[in-house]
Amino acid sequence: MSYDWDFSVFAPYRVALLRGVWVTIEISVFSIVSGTLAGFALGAIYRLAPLQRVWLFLNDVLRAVPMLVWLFFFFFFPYKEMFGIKPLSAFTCAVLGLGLSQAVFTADLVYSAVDRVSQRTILGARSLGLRDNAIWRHLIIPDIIRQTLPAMIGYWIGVLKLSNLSSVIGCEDVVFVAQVATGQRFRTLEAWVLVALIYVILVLPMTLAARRLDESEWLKRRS
Amino acid sequence: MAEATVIEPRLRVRGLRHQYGDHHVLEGIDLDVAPGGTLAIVGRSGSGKSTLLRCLCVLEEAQGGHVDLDGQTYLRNGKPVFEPWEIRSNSVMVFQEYNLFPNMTGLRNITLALENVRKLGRQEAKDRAHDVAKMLGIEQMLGRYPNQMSGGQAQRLALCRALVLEPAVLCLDEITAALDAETIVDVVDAIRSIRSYRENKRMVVVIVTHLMRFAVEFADRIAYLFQGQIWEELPAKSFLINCQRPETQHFVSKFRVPF
Repeated sequence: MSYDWDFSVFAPYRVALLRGVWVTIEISVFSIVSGTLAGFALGAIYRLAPLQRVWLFLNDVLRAVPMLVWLFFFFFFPYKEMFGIKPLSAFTCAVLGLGLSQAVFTADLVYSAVDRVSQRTILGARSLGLRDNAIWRHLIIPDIIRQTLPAMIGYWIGVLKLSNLSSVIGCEDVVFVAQVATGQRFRTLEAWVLVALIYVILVLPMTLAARRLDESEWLKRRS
Repeated sequence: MAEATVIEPRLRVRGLRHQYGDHHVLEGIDLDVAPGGTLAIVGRSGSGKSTLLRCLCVLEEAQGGHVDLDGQTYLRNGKPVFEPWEIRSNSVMVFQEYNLFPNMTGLRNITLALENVRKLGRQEAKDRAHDVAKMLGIEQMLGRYPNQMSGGQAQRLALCRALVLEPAVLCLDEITAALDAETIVDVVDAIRSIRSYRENKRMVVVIVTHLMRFAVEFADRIAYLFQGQIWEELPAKSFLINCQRPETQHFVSKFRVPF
């Protein structure tokens, strides 16, 4: 018994696959960057605003919704009927859905990280006459970044891998291209091996970076 | 007849009160410290020594009393008259646990407040940091992070960070507690050397300690804090033999053996 591997049938799809990889990267980077920044802001707002518990509960509710459901929500939302505007592109919907998911995850991390910033460090800063804004800028935020970064990188990798959900709403990412190619060439195994390889190349550097970070001295500079 | 010179106290505390709920920690503290004076506050643990320092540095709010510095009131009825950060930058506290900034090098630990509070330029701040660090013997530590320092080095860095600000009042809260005897000697030497730096001759130093010998050697006067009040205050050198009140005598009887 033997299986006759044949990747050559995908040669004509080279450009389409590369474009797919680029779409995957674009969706991931936009979602991760916008989601992380928004999450930081949200976490700080939950912390500083009144009714913290209510905000946190709402955040938990949003966090419970799966990414694919968010994608469908933004994709099938009746924009025209509700706001009188054109429906958003599949790409925008993918970034919104994945970004929102990243944002509520980040907000939750940041919210609880504020509590874990050493009071001793803050007292040390106060005792020298430093004001709250300087304390946030130089001590609290750097500490929150150290606390949350390892978990955050894990989620970034998750977003990168789950960005392929966007193919369901029609984004032409690498998975979408593979689906089209297998439909035309019937070499399913090869196609998915190829896609798997592409993801390994994309994800592995992040995993290795996360491991280096975990072992780094920089991360230990917390009290 | 020679005229008696009356030295106005630089730091004057009157009727300072503090309570946690129903528990009265400080019940009307009166203290005077002369310019350049060092006052040691001794007492049992839980007697309110650290609370007193925190109130002086506005890290905790007092419920009553006045505190004057150079004749200017900064705490009135326990409430700060100026912005708390402004008072803190002139009445600086050094802690038992150092309370350094773990994410910053030794140098940055020192320059952060110089730049942000004293508004010095980066280079000037660095120069000052190097000057004082040299006096305290920690110049080679400036490139290291707090987690790479020994207890004695970390404590000297904490002192350095406070001293470069040239505060009017320096409060030292049990700074020898986490150190071994040899390191304490280093730190005591370091504190002595700081007097010669710039404007520090007139600086008032208030220390809280449980080491009687440290208090006797380092301070001019010692105050015994008991039941939320200054029970007895005497010149440091004669405190052990001249204290009068039975509670003070009972307290010092444990310290016949130094350290």
